[in-house]
Amino acid sequence: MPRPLDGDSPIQAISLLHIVRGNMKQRRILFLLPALMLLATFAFYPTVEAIRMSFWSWEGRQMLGFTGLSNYADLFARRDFFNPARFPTLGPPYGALIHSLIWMVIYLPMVAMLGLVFAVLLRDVRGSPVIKSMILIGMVVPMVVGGIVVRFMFDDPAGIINGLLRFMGLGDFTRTWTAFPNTALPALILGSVWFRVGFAMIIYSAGLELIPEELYEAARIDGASRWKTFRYITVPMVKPCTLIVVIMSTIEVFRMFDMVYVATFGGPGGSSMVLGLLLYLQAFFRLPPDIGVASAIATFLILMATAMAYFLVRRTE
Amino acid sequence: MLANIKEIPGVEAPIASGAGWPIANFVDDFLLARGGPDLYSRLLTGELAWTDPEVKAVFEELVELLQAGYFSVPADWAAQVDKFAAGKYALYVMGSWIVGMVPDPEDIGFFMFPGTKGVRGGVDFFIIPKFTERPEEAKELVRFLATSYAQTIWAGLGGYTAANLKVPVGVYPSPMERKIAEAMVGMRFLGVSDTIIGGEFPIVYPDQLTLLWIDPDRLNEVLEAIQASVP
Repeated sequence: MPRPLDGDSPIQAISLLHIVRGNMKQRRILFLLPALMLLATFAFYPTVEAIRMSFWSWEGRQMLGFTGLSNYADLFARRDFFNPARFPTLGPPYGALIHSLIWMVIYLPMVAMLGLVFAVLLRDVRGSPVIKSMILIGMVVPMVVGGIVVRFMFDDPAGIINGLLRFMGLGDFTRTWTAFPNTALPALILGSVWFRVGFAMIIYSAGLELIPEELYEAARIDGASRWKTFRYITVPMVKPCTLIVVIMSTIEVFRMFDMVYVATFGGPGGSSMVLGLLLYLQAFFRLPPDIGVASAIATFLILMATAMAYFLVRRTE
Repeated sequence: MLANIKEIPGVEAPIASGAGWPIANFVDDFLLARGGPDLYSRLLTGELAWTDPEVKAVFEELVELLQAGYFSVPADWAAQVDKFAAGKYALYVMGSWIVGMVPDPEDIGFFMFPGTKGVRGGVDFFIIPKFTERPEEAKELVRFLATSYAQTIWAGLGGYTAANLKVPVGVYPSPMERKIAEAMVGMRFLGVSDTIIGGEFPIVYPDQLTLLWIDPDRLNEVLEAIQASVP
């Protein structure tokens, strides 16, 4: 029997040894324990606590008493959260919830499509690692910096987007996009697509490597066009990658905060307010803070992201 | 004057607009100058609603200036400083720290908002910890710091404009500081709206005013949103 470690009692050392040498189930538990402890501390506990806090009334940072669903009722009565009366004819603001959904509807397909297109186009191109690295730069840039970049990209007359519009003879459309209610949200969405398309491209690039070459050979022998090969071989074969991209992008949209904070602060007139920023403003900017409503937004975000991920995983299975 | 400035070649707009708090500060000054210290004070205390016809009349004056194109499109306030220094704008309502942000501080000057009878200043609080053993001595120190004697020493060090009106103008070390102190003689001192009014107001006020800058026709909607944010 090995000698007990210094500071351990013989009984402790024997039990640890027993588990390490024991059956597979016990070993799994032992090795999972550190990760589970971290998850419990930094993910499960804050989540449960946020849900619990959303059912209590607050005065500043002091918890008063159980209040049922009243924080949720307050949340849905707020125009900066949900303002369907303006949608779509009267123009923004539509409320953070609708803005986040609009963001998702535009962002998800664009990120997935551009990621796949870049991955396919750059698959067998000479120097593709260099081009891919350049596309990936957006992903390594912190979103706070991304917010500043977006603000300047869409600035008039200095921004590159307005420069391009002028170059294309569309000078009438130039403006400081982030300053106007109708264009602030689209500018942020387009900026975020650019910054995150590198992630999708990398996932799809890895997925493309796993597609058997025989499938493409068979398609060539059968005389399939490049489009049909892409449509009926590539797209279905990278479906698991699409799932990952969609789930990660959905979470990305729901927790979008830093870029909006820096670029527009949710304005003008709340026209680019998103759920993450509204939560922050209620919890840390408002005087006094409204912790109940902030917790309700957090719970709402958790439920939406979880439901979306569950739905997508089930659909793929 | 604004119409003349607008005609100068190379000038994008007579007045620079910084999105968010700089616009809010400008509107505070506008209300103070055009509506008077009493109107502004009643807005701060909540005695007067932002939708009141008296307040709306002042905002309508502002809307006329906005519609005439005298203000730039709101943009990042620090980026606007660069454009202001480059001569793209003639005027910028900004804090005295702008002196340290432009290449040539001698090239800029300042004047009080025309017709104003009040000045605004941020309110800071002296906080005495509950567990202190000498609360009375701490209060005594605060009382001393408010005296003209203490503030004369303080102002003489530079970078600080005394709140005590008995501090002589001659103690300020730089000509710019003396000019500021002279301009403040006889003025009524009032707070900054988004530090005095709590609730959602500090969030909504600058944001709604930025919207007004872009779309002055939405004045009623903007004032209603501001009033709804007052606790």
